[in-house]
Amino acid sequence: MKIAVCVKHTLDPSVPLRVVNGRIEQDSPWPVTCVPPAERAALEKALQLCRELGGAVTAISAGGPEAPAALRFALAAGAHRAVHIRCPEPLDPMVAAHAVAALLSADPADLVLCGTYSADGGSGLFPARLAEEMDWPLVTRAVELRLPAAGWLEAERRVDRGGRERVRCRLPAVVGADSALAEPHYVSAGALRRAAAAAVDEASCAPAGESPWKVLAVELPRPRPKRVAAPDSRLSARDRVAYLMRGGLQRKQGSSFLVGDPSAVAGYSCASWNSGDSWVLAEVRTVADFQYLFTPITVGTMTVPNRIAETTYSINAGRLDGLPDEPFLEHHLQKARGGVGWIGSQTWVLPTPLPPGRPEEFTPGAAAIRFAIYNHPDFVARVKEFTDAIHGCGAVCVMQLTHLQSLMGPSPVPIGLLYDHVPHELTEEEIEFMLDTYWQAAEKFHAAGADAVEIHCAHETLPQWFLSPYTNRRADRWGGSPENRVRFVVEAVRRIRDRVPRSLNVGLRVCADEYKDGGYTLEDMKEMLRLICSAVPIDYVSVDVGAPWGMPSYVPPMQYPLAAFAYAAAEIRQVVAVPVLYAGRVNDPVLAERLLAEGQADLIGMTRASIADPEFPRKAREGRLDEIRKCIGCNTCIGRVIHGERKTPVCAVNPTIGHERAWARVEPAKKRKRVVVIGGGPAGLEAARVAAGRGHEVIVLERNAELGGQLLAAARAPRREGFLDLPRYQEVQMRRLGVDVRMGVEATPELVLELAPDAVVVATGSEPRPLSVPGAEQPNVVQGRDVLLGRAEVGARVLVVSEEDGMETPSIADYLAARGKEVAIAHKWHLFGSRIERYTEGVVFYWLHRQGVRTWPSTRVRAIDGRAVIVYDVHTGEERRLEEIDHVVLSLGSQPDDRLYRALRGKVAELYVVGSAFAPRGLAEATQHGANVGRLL
Amino acid sequence: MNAATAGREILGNIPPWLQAGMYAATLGSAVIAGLRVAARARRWARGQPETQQLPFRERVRDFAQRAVAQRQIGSTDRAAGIAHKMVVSGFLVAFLATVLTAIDHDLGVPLLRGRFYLLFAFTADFFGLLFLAGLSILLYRRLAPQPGAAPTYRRRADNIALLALYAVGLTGFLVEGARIAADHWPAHERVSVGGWLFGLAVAALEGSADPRAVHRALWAAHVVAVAAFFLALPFSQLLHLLAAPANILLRARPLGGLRPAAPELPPAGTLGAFSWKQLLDLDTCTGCGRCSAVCPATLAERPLSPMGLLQHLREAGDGTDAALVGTAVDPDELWSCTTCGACEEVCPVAIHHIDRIVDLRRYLVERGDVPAAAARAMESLAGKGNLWGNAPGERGQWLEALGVPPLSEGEACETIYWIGCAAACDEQARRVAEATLRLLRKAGVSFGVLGSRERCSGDFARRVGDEGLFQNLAAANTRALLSHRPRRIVTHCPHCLNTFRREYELGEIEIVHHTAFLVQLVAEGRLQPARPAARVLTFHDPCYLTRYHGLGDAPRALLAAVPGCSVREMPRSGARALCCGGGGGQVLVDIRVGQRIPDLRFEEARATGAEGIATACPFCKIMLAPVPAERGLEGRVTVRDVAEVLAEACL
Repeated sequence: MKIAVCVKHTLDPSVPLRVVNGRIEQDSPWPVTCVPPAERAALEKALQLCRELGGAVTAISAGGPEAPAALRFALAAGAHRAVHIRCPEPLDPMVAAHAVAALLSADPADLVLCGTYSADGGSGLFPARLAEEMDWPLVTRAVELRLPAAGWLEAERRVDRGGRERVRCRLPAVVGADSALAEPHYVSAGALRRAAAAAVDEASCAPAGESPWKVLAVELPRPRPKRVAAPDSRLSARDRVAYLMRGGLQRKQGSSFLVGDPSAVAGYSCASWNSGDSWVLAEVRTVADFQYLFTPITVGTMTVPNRIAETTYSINAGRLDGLPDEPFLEHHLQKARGGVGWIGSQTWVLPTPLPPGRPEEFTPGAAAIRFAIYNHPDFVARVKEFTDAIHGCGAVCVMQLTHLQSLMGPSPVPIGLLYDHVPHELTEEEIEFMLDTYWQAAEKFHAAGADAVEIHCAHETLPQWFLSPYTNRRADRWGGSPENRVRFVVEAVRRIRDRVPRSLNVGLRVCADEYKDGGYTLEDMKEMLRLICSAVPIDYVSVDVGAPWGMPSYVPPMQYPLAAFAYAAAEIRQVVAVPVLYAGRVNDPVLAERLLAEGQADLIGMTRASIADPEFPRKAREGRLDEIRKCIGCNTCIGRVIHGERKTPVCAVNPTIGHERAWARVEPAKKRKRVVVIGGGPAGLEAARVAAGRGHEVIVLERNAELGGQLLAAARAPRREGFLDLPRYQEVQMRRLGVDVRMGVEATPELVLELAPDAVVVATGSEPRPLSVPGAEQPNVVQGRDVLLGRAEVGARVLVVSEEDGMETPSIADYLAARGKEVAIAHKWHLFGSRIERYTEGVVFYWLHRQGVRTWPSTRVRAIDGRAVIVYDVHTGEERRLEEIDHVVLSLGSQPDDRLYRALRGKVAELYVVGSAFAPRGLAEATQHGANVGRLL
Repeated sequence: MNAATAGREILGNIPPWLQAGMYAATLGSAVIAGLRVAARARRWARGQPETQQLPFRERVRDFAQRAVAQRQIGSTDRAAGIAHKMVVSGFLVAFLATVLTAIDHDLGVPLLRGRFYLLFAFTADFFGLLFLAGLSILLYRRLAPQPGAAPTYRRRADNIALLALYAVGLTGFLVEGARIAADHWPAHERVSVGGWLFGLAVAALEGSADPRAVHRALWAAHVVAVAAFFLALPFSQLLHLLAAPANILLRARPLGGLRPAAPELPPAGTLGAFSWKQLLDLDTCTGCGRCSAVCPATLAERPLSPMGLLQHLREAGDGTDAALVGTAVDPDELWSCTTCGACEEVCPVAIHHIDRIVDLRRYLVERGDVPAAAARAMESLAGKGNLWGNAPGERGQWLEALGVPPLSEGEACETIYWIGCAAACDEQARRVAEATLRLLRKAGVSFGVLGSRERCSGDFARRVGDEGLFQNLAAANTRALLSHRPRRIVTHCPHCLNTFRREYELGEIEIVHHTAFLVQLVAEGRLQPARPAARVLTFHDPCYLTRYHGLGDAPRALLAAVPGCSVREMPRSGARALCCGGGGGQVLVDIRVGQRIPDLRFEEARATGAEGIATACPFCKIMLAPVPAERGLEGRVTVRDVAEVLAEACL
């Protein structure tokens, strides 16, 4: 019995690969190679057959100088002879089969065993081609092999669904082994060493014709998903939220997070959050090697140049009502120029079946409109202009189609926690109308050059109400079972597919888990997506989690763990075959890369990150990670618009937003001036950055030992450390721009004048407003800012006196409660925290209420008498006396500290006052004020 | 009593033909015994040469402690130790007495006269009584085994030998008593306390018989007993009288040491493949069972009993070519050994158990006959440098993510922290390294790590039996380590520590366990365990730390340095600790028989009432850490490395 076994050495498939310059390389300090499992099984079977029947095993390998390694392995395992066919690398399976066939013709064998598929190329061509050339029978995927009678072979083949097929054929034959053909025995290093000295016969490669195929490109595999901890869908919504907020998710992710005291890991550029008992710091890496983030991905028929997506958001980027205009274009275009590969722009609201002649209706939540902008005669032309510009930067355009109103829904039940009104129950005809709007809009967008449309099924839109058993109580074909609940979405997609060419891709945006008792869970969503994907072709799924109000929120602010809901994308990615996009508090390209590498998502929505720094993709790609202005998750961008406080977009850390055209270019200074900036807070630093960038000589004087101004106090509150990302960024900028930053310098008019400045920018910030009631001078009355900064210690029972509506009071209360104090808040008005935007208030009140913080609404302080505080109701004037208060902590907002400005007036050529020193406002205003003055200098 | 005239007539009352018979019997049996011993010695000599030998001083010290002072035997079993001491001293004195008698009588030197005779007679009798008493204890223990006593290995020849020895003593006293009676109770013979007492008994029993005839008969019986003893000596466990002192004096390796092997030569798996010293070991074994009484595999009812293994090998025949595995030894026995060294630690006669187990494993490995999990692990070792099959690059990535950039090739570094593949790949062990890294950083220690260039130290490969693989790994690691010209290597893995110290050639580089290093940092005040951790812990000694290298004090000192932390010792601790079950490749080799060793150890720890188990070896942690959860005690009993406990107190 002469048996030939074809073996080869390949890179070990279990070691991850990377693509470098179009070639696949192993991610390992030394090459890890192996004889692949199927070929080892083939070899083992050959040896077993020889032991039973007598004869010899010849191992054959074709290839370059590396090939004999496989032969030595075969000899060490017990092969009797080895033949190396010298062939040029890289080896083509057709050429290899031809070479082996030539060898076998000269030196025949009774049986040839090889692997059915090789571990590297995997074409499965080799055994087929060899059998063809030899004109022998072929058995592939063999899991069992017997030689019952001379000249005959019996084999079992692995077939569909684990079935076995028994076949019989004549010898000589070619058998392609499955790895289950035999259990290979261990080959010791000693045996390998001895085999290294054994003789290997050499043969030359027979000339073959040109290979019929050619490799065009090599791409990275879709990473296998890593299992991440996810809240159990069987738990109640409350318990799932608690699990999320405990930080269980983050901590279980393990290795990339350092748990410890912040001082122990200081110096690392990272965002962090406090999970109650310990600090969890994310991403301590300062250098990163991006393998996936900048690798193109095919989604349906479109090729996205990288994995960074701007998901759809509406922050009034345009000035025209709905139609793309120049500011709109500029806002999104600067992101596309900066390297964002996927532009989602704003959402497009679809019309509702209001009876003719009725005006549009504004119900809480959103408007039910009759006329949608896609019906505008200019629509296609205007949008085409936009898509052309975006395509010009290499990015793709994805348009979101939204039924956003709360006037009518599947069932007459309130939609949820915020909105308690009962909608009109849609009739069959109205549903038809709604469904048709999707394809009508899609048709327009296709004409306008969009690459994809996205059916918005999250954020309390109509499709989500159909999906959710909480809002969909219908008993007809649109409700009840999951099959019926997904029907609305399936129908909407089907109509688009039927009427619009395939080149327009269709995706879904889903809320993965409603976190609402009676609503659907992640497991339900996975099931529904399975149903949808099997009914209609979907090109991608975009995943987020949360509601537009409360806990959790789909615009997770800085209080949330980074990428808090990525687990949901990872879970969904296991049930759908199409790319999955995850969006939600990913503010850092390193984190994005990790999510991609761990297979948690295929695309990462980094919408706020690209508002904070539209150029961050380019900076990341060029290795300038520390120059990225990170999104701190303050939600100013969406909050200001949602609450109607602004008509134009704004960003707290990036003053250019909203003035993209006007501020795009930084004019170099005509004359180089010496500029002294007093105060290293957000306003002063931004003024210094812009001025220095324009070429001025800038000196920054800062009283403290650290840059950041009031942010340092704000960041001391639990889960608010994200604020520190801004001063960290500015510090790098100061160094990069050569700004002379002098720390620990208390500026006086004399000192400033001594520096002989051409211009002075006073950014001395503000001081807390004092309370002017009897007893306010007592030592047990302290300012909240001093408490946060650790300058004041307080006792066990604390009353926080609140006369501001933003985050100051909650932050102070949270800080105290986290330290075990018994905290009550006396708020000036009946609405406490009224200026906290709706995506943040959920997590703020979650922590306040969980820690037992009490609130007295409409309550002001009349007097403080030792450990008693006399308060009164602002409406009735009724007084009450709160006893046994150890400390009164004040949160009354700030008053400007502009003494230096007033002292310097008339003494310097140019004098400006910026930020809180002008008037205390928000972070966004301070940054913009500073930038504005920086441009004026 | 007249001291000056004290003495006795040697061989009085013994007719010349009987004397001749005595000489013939004793000398004859001695010659037969001698031939047999020579045959055994020839068998030893047929073994392979032994390239290792412990330093002479160490061997002499060991000899003094074990062979002369007989310290070791009593260390596990006091009664047996005392009885053995009695028998040995009695035997030695009786032997000396016989020699003196022979000098007096056969050489005609008048020694046994006067005061010396009195001293001689008393001493000989006193030790003779000790001898008999000791033997009686041993005989009693043998006939009525105590519950819970070590399992011993019995052969018929051993019982005969023991009876012969007993008969020698008993008939010796009876002869003496009969002689005293026949000599009409000379007053000075009262110093021969034993003889006098036995004489009274003989006199009471003989009644009207002729005392001289009784004496002659008893004398003859004594001669027969002595001849029987000589004959039994080489055929029974009494051979250890000769072999044990020799074995102790010729000790080749420290505890747990392995025989070097050349992977270029296929290992044979026969008796002839053992070294002469290993063959001598086999004949030294008395089957006392102390090794099996402490062996974790035996305790867990796994197939291995070290004593049984030795005895089966000894009985495998005189032929040196017969294959042992599958006949004398079952492969599962070999795969059950954790190489914890408890057997060698406890063996009174300095037998090496582990080296031969590994020798036979080498034979199995050569044939490719390896448990599947171990085979997978070794293939991973060969390719990826770790047991777990993780990609080699992951080590560096993990360290970089922690903010510890690995050294670049050739960069000089005084202190290298060797992470080891357990910490690089296993979640449980990883926390040990993370704690240690944070402590080192906190203390401001300047150190470097090798990152992805680090491979498994090869402990696993060597102990599973792939010597070639071990050498490949050792060569790569040695090259990588030496390129940084370090003065010190710190490691938290006792297996790496042992391998570096004993099996690598790293020159003058100091190899330190992290506990020893941390103790120093705490002593210097660079680490201050300030945060109190009021809890009761028990410390599980890693075999390769405490038993192999005697380094069990440092981790205990660290625990003592944590305020509020107290250590409650387990009954088996220190050098006598029970293994976690993870050594010698057992962390991956799974013999599905018997109990799990970590369960046994956990029970022991749990019985102390401690809230947590501290240990100082990643493998111990890997083995023990999952047990609480399996028992529903998750969170209530923690298993942590000493470094983790310290980190909590310091950071």
